[in-house]
Amino acid sequence: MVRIFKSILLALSVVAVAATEAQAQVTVQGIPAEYGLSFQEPATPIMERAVGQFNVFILPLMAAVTVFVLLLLLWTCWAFRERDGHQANNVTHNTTIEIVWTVVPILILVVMFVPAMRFLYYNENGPDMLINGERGNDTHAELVMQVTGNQWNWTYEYLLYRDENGVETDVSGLEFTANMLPQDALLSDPRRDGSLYKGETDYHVVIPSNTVVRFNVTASDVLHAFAMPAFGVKVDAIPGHMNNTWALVNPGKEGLYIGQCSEICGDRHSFMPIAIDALPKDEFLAWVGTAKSELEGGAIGPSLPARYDNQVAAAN
Amino acid sequence: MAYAADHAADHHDHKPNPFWRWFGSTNHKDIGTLYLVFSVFTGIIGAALSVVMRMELSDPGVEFLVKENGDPNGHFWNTIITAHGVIMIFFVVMPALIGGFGNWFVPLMIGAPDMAFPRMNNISFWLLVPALGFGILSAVVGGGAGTGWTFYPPLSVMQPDKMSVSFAIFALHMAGASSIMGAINFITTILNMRAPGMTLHRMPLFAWAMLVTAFLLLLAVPVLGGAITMLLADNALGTCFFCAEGGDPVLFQHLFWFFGHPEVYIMILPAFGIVSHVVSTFSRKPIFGYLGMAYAMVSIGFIGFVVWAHHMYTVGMPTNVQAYFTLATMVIAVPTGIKIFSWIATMWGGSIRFTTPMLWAVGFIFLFTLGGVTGVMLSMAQFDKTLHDTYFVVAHFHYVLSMGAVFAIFCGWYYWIGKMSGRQYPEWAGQLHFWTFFAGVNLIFFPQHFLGLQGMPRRYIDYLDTQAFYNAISSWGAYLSFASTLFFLGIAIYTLVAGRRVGDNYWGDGATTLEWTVSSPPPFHTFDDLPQIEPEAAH
Repeated sequence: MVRIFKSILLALSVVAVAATEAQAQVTVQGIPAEYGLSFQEPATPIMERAVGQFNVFILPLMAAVTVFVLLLLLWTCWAFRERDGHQANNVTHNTTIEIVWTVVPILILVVMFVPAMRFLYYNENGPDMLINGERGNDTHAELVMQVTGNQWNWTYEYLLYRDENGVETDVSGLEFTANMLPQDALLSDPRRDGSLYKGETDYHVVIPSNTVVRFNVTASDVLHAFAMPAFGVKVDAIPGHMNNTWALVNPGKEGLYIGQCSEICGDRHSFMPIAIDALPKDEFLAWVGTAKSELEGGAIGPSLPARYDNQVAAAN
Repeated sequence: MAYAADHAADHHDHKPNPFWRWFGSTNHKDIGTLYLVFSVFTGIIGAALSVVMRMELSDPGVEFLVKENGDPNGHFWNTIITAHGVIMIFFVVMPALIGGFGNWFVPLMIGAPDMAFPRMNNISFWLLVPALGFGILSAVVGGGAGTGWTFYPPLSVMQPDKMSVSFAIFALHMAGASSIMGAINFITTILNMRAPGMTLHRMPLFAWAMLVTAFLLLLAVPVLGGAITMLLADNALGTCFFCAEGGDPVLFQHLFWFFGHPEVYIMILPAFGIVSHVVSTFSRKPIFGYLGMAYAMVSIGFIGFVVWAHHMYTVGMPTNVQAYFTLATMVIAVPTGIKIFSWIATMWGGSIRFTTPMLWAVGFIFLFTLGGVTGVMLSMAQFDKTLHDTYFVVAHFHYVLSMGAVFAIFCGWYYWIGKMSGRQYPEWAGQLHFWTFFAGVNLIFFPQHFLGLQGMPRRYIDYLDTQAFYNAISSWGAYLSFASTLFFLGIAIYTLVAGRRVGDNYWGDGATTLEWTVSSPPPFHTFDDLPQIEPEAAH
């Protein structure tokens, strides 16, 4: 009895230690889950809507249609199989049923089309609504950055940061290129999660949470696509074009997000990931200060946000 | 009198010597056979390429396709996916469905002695052979063309060896010319050479499908021809149609998909035709809602021309334009639904035999529905952006093509091989082929929905470690499907060499179209005396 009690205590203490360590970790929010059957956990209003629509009516409706057709097909196969004493009839027309199977799909499509349109126009109007505090929203801070796809890395240039009160912070000169981190460099860096190979980059893009981040996306050589699954963001990077997309990382969703180039771009298409740290605004501003001085001092990229070092310190 | 003597000789099934019979053929049945043999050959190549891809993707890390220094050879990978796409679309599915079954059975079904332009029919086929040659050259010259089958610039004009893309464009030029000539031939034949009494509204659905397909080819392929000719000039002459500085890379995408979307209906409409006949034959019932079925295909053909930019929701089009393409794309689901339900209604009240062709047809109906509903999901512009260029899209278009068009090719093969060769396949082997292939392709492509939802991009030689599980399943499915395909090759050879001989109408009273009124195999020249079509005998 005592031994059982002791072992339970031991197990509890192990859990407690693990929990303290987890708090010190940089949360990896946006990567594919092992055995994941649906979307990644949404981090932005756009992706929340996509996942919400998918879970609430797109998947149920489409699954219902598929299962209905399957069951109808199987039942027809069974009920009208060839057998003794059963003759095929010669029915080839039934106006009522033909009208039904034309009108019902139209109704299903209308049910899907209306929210699809609201979602599409929310993508266009959302940033202004959120920044200006329209339609019951609070005013939000705004970050503008340019993203350039190159063979085979991404260049990020910070253009503007304005907080929710309209106060600007100088982010000029904050520009760097992020490459995929080779496996040995990844494994030898105690601040990094070794399982993120092919998703981790040498320098991270840092954005503030609860802020409208506008990405102006272009490319310097061939087509690429800037994509971040958990943000619901995907836009082609096209030389000579400037495309726009946006993301607002919800409060509480701070962490590391991994995306991958999503338009074929040559030899190392599979190896130009996008790693974004979404941090609370104060940590973002602290990082901006450090990063700017590092880059002005001749560094080719900014160091990781302080969280990563704190985590290593806590672990030791 | 000399004319009369020649005419008499025709009646005695006088075939030319083997060389001229096969290399100079003007006989629609022989040309159809050539197309089918061609697509079996290319099909094995295309399937072998997919096995190479699935072997590489079976677990994380690049094992096989590496450079000399051990780095992943992404360009070689891109070359393989490009070759797989080009071969499967232009050299397997189209030749089999249009050139093969179309040539064989459109004249037979409408009671025509042959195609309208037999010599043009010959060149349509023989252009495909050098086209395939150029296609293979494009994959081996200077490391190959690693652009994807869509050949998007600027990547396609920045290949390590420009010759590779030029060869690929020549291949498409020739295949395109072949298709356009074939289309002219089908349209002329169907509109002018139907037997007396065979009005358009009594014409079998496969002929309807081929008529719509031919119009799509005639209108869409020249647009591709123009686009890739401009691309060729950009690539080889240094012009700037699609370059960023004064041209526009996105313009190529619009032109390409103006062809590319009708192209997917070009691949699936003949499949609809075949499935209609098989469902009707084995249910022992005439097709349900014949006119609705025919005009559903016509409307799918029309709408197919006005939805192209749903392949391009991420290129940065205005929101209103995206809204339009969402609406237009969704509309296609309506005539497609009419077809699915009409097939089921044809079976309803029938007396259904589940011989091999019917298994493929029922498999087609269900799996095409599954590919169709994921298509409706992808039609919604903003939602699509979460899935665009991921494995979800790969799963979607393989459900409609690999389980749609390819299932219909097998369906047609088992349905008509007795007619074409005079010999029947062994039933147990056909059923084994169906079940193994059905299991295999579902194992490949169903898990890919999950990979795509989790964000795995297309055309990747490697992936994050957390996505290993479904990739492994997918690869095992590919091995099973390929084994099943090799088994089919064995069935085909056995059937042609030693299959049981069959009579004119070996499927019995359900098979009512005109090809079942001639012998198996049909005489070299059919319908020297035109059949008279009575209203009840049609479709």
